[in-house]
Amino acid sequence: MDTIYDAKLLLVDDNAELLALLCEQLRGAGYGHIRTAQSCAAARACFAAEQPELMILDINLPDGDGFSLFRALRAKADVPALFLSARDADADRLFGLGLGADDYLTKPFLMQELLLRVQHILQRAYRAELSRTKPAPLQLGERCVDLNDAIVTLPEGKTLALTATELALLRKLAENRGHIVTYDALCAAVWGADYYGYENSLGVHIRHLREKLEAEPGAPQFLRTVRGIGYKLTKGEEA
Amino acid sequence: MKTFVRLIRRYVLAAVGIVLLLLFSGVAVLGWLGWQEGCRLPQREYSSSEIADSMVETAEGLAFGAERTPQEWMNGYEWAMVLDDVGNIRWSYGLPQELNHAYTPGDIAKFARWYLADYPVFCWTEPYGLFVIGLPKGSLWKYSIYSSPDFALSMVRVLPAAALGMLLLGLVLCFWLSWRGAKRLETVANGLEALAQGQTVRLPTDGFAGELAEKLNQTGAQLQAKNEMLSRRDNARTQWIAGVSHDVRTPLALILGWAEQLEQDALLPDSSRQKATGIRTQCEKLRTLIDDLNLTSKLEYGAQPLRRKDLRAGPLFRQLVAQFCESPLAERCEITLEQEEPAEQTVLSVDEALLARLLENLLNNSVRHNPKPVNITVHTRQVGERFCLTVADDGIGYPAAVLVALNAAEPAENAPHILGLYVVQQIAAAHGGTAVFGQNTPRGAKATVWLPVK
Repeated sequence: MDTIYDAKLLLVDDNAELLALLCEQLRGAGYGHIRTAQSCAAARACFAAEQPELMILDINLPDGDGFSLFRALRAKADVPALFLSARDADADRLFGLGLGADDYLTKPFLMQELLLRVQHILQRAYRAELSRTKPAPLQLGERCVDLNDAIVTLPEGKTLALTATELALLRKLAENRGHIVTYDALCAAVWGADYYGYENSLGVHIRHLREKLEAEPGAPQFLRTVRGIGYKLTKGEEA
Repeated sequence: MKTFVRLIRRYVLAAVGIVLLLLFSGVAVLGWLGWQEGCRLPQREYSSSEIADSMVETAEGLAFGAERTPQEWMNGYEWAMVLDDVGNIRWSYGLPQELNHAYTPGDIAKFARWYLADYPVFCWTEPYGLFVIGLPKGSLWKYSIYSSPDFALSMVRVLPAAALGMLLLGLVLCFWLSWRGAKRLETVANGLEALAQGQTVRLPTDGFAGELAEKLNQTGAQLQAKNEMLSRRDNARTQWIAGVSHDVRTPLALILGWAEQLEQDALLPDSSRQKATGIRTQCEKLRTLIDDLNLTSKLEYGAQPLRRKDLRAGPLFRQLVAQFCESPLAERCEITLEQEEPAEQTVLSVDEALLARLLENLLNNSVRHNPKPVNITVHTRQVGERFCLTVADDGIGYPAAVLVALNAAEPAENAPHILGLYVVQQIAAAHGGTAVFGQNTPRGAKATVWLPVK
């Protein structure tokens, strides 16, 4: 697998229309290998024929329930899974996540949300495999960041090195590009600690990072502050 | 237990009181009888021995003492006589004719103990002979009592101890009976307490409190049946809402998905894509409504378990606000999160999913009910032992009818639809807190949620 879009997906839902809609959306998002099944038996057959890299499972199925199916399939191979169900009770959600599912989404859902969650699960589950193929460099306006080598290339060709802390911060922000990362999540990712006691350090490192990433560090275009909450690495078009 | 002790004390004291009362009344009755007897006995001026002692020898033979007249001496008596050593009458006074004869030792032995021709008599031995004096017939009953000397002595010794023993036995019996009674009543009292706490009651129906226990059992059974019926009805309602919401979810997912698809379809004209956006927005509203409906029915009937966790307020609210910032609704507002230093460190024992729902409903409310984009401030602070979350915006504020409905104890028939805010109130209440809704100054809506601090 070179990119997450090469991943083989298995969709299990008893509603054919929903399956068609999901397929269409996932294909539209770039996923090329999608298999569908409308029952537990069909899902087992698909799984046996070609082991998927991600399963999206409904819970109410005509010949069984998604939880049992998940357990049976998980026993064969450690494949990441997302439950997509009309069951909204906390108990079901907790049970599903407790079984070891990677995520649980309740119907009705926004397709964009599902696509993002699928993307996250695949990135997290196959990080090692994906990092073997060199990731595309992070493009921030005219500056380019190579996260593997921790180097920022300026438009004129000059390069700046990132410190280990700056790199860790930037990795966390880049993983969630376009989304807010709270102070707490950043501190946990970089220092494995609470935000308390690191308020000033975090501010200082972000300032240094801005000096390297932003053309105008005083008016940041990419590394934005969300006051009281955290930081966000904007996508190019938001800038 | 207090009632138990009080009951026994009262029983024993009452018993002691009754015994004392009986004792006193017994003594009084005896005294009265004695006094009556004293009145009834033949009234005699002098005792037979006094009269016998007063007799003197004169020249004419024996005679009463001269200090009184014979009538005075004989007041209360019928007759008197003196017998000599061989049984002949030596002297007599008022002696009936039929008694005027000599007496054999056998006669003397008989009347000395009993009667002489039905006259009760007393005898007195004097140097001058045997003095015999008779009372009127039928004025006196004479008894003769015998006993061994030991019996009389032992009666004197044992009687007080026996009386004391009987009193003690009485007390012990009283205590035992009252203890048994109290014990039985205590069972009934425990049953009542269990009933008050909504537990099932099945008491033994024997003993003197059996009827009470039986009635209590019947009441308990009735209450239980009613509770079961109520809980079945509540369950059915919650299940029904959960079922409907479950069944609506899949069709809604399709509508939402297709609407999203149409919205992004670049080949469609803008007007059609705007309509698709409308469908999508309305679907999302429906989704929120279903979630709220399901949650409110579960909270109302206690079917929603609280999964409390200790969470520090600072990271929790940063996370929750960040989540909302990611949602499409956030595009129509500007959110500021302000957490005061002590509040940020506060540890709350809350159900994270429910608290997320609470904040989401308040933020949704601010965004959805204001036609123009609004500035929302989420503020947290700690006041004493309470944590205060304020969500305020600068929009049009709550309509007056909404505030009236939110503050009303019972939902009115034509109350505005405030399910989202009602759920906020329910979630706050489930955590032991309150939610207060009011207007922000100078304008806008302001919701204040108070939660207890762990």
